Amino acid sequence: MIIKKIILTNYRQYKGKQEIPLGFERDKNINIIVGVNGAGKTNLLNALNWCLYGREDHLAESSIHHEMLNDSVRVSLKLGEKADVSVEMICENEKGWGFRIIRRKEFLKGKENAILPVREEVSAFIKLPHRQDWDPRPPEFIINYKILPYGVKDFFFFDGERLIKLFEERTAEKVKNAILDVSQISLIDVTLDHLEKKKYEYYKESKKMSPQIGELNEKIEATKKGLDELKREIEEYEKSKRDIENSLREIENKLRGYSEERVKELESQYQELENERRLLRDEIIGLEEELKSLLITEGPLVLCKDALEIIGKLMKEKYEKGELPPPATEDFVKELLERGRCICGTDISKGERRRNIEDFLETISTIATKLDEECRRIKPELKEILKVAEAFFDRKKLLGQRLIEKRDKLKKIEDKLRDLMIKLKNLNIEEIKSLIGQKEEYEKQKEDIIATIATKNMQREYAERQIKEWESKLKKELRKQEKLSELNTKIEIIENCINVLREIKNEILEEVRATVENFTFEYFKELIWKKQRFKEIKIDKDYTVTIINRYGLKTSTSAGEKEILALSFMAALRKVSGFEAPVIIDTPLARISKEHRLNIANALPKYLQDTQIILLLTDEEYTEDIKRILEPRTVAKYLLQYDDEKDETRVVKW
Amino acid sequence: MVMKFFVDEKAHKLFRDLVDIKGSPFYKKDLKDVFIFSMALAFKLGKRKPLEKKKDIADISVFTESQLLLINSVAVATENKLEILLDEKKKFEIAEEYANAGVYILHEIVFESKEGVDDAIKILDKKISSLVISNEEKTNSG
Repeated sequence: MIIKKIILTNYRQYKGKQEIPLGFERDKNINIIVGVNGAGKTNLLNALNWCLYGREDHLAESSIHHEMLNDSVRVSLKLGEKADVSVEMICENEKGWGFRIIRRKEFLKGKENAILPVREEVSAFIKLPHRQDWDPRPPEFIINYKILPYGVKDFFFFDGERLIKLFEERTAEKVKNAILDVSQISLIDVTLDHLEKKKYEYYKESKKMSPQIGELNEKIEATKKGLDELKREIEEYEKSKRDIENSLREIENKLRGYSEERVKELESQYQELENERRLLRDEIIGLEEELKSLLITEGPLVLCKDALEIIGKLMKEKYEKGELPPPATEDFVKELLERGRCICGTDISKGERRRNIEDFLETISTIATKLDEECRRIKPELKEILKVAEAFFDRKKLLGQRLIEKRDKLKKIEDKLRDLMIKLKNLNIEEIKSLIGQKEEYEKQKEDIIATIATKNMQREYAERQIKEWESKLKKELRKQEKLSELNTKIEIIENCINVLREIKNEILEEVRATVENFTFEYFKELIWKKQRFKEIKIDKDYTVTIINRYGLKTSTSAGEKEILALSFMAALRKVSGFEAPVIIDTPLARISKEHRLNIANALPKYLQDTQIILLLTDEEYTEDIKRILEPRTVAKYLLQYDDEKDETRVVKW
Repeated sequence: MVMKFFVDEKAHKLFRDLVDIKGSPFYKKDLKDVFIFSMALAFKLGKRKPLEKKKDIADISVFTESQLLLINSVAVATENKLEILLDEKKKFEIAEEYANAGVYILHEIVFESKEGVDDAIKILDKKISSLVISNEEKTNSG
């Protein structure tokens, strides 16, 4: 689907009617709109958002309380006069169907120059291929099913400045939210919520019928309330932790960007040590896990070493005494019985002798033979296990030594980090002193919050387990009472539905996560300039994003590479969303260095070759170099001519 | 018929705590791992506790070869006769009784240590070492 034309009337800077026809050809998929800061590039993005969803998501703070009616029109209105703001989008899909959305808002001039919104309406129309007439249709249907639903629009219309931040901070949270949005599982969540409520309604109903059930219900309800409160607290602590991490990052950036050479040097040493500390902590956690696993799996072997030795000893004795293997094999005795004659010539075809031999056969086949088989089976395993048990303390000692070494190393690094802090403070630069002071305070706060979150999480898990336990008791009680059986069946059906829905939700999320991971790397490889440097992009189950280099190690990225990563991620999300709408990027090159600007400009035409791309660029972004790169793929180009005095913008073809 | 192994209904919660509560060394491990550890610990301490009301928690097929060998060895050492190897029911009954006594001790070590669950590993480590070493000392002096 492409946007054929955007028509703005009296919308913010855009006075009167301004038309922007846009194009798309197979080898020319880029539309460029250039304007100085304040000319209305971002407001063009706002206009499209407002037209489709009635919201201006990218509004500058200064404009939030400012009505959208153009200022000059507003001033020219007389008391009681009305004026319209409208934004119209004309789109066309690949089969030639046309879609038109118009949103209008009417304003009335009131007393003391007040501008009062009177009404707002949105209308939508559809046009069959090769026809001229537009037929009205419900706007929600056209927007959500034919153009782009609100939940996924951020992967199509976005701001370059925000884009680059996507992989700078709170990445896991943003990636998780994006994957949740694109999975469109909100319907499942609504259903789950409804089912949970229904379940507790039934529980409440059952409470009236039995005091014990009532008691259990009360416990569950009270714990559930406490659990909700805990979850809310955890969320708040997590948010505080993220805020602290952001503040820490800002301080570190400030320190790194400090003009004094000595400060820069000390801060970069600090960062190196900090990375080393992080790695060491990971290694220590790994060793502790190894030790834990050794204790759990091999500890029982050591504790039962006596028993293992006893079984070995008893087995040895049995074989030495000749009790094992059985003195005569089962087959041999069977053969004698079949022949009816012993090897000494005695007749054993009948009588007491035969009975004795038959009893003997039973004994050797049921006990000795089986015991012999069991001992033979056990013997090699026993030998191995005893070896493992004997090596246990040596292995534990070795692990312990490695842990001590790593912990010592960590302590040294922490001492060095403290020294560096002191050195930075001693530079006697007031601002640095204050920054370091803040940094120390934030780090302490962060540690406290992490500990609190861990405790709250334990409490949460405990409460969840208790609820589960009481619910199972409750079910048992319900089952006991005949009269409650119908209610119980209803509760069981609801619980089954909840479980199935949860499974479906997890499966969908997992599938979307894996697909987004694959597509992100596919696009990243296509767009990135140093292709050999990167081997893999991982989006883990906790939604952390890791880039793996050719050596199989985690690697960091430059600002330019981060933007390519974000563009690739957006493209992957778009692909998964299943919608084919144009991509509009506001200021894609503003926050990156010149070298990377050229690289990204080179990558942009390749970025979704079959998609209409609309780039909103500042004059500073659209340099001669960039122009040379983008020109061959440009299908339409506009300049936003801004009149500073009148605060008005005119769109002119360039 | 598939053989099951049982724990006492009263102790079932303790087993679950050990695998369900974050911070426990057995967190997210299998119940059979807690079972084996509890059995080994109580065997070393010479404590057995009959089950009052049995609750099955899994098939015996979940045990590894080495874990089954431990169950066998504990039964043989307790009865001091090899023939018990052929009595599946009795072997498991012995193992269950040790595990039933051991799980209370293990639960206490893990959740009631003063330093919190983080310290449980250290205490568990010390417990194993002290039990094994004191036994070796006894053997050497004896």
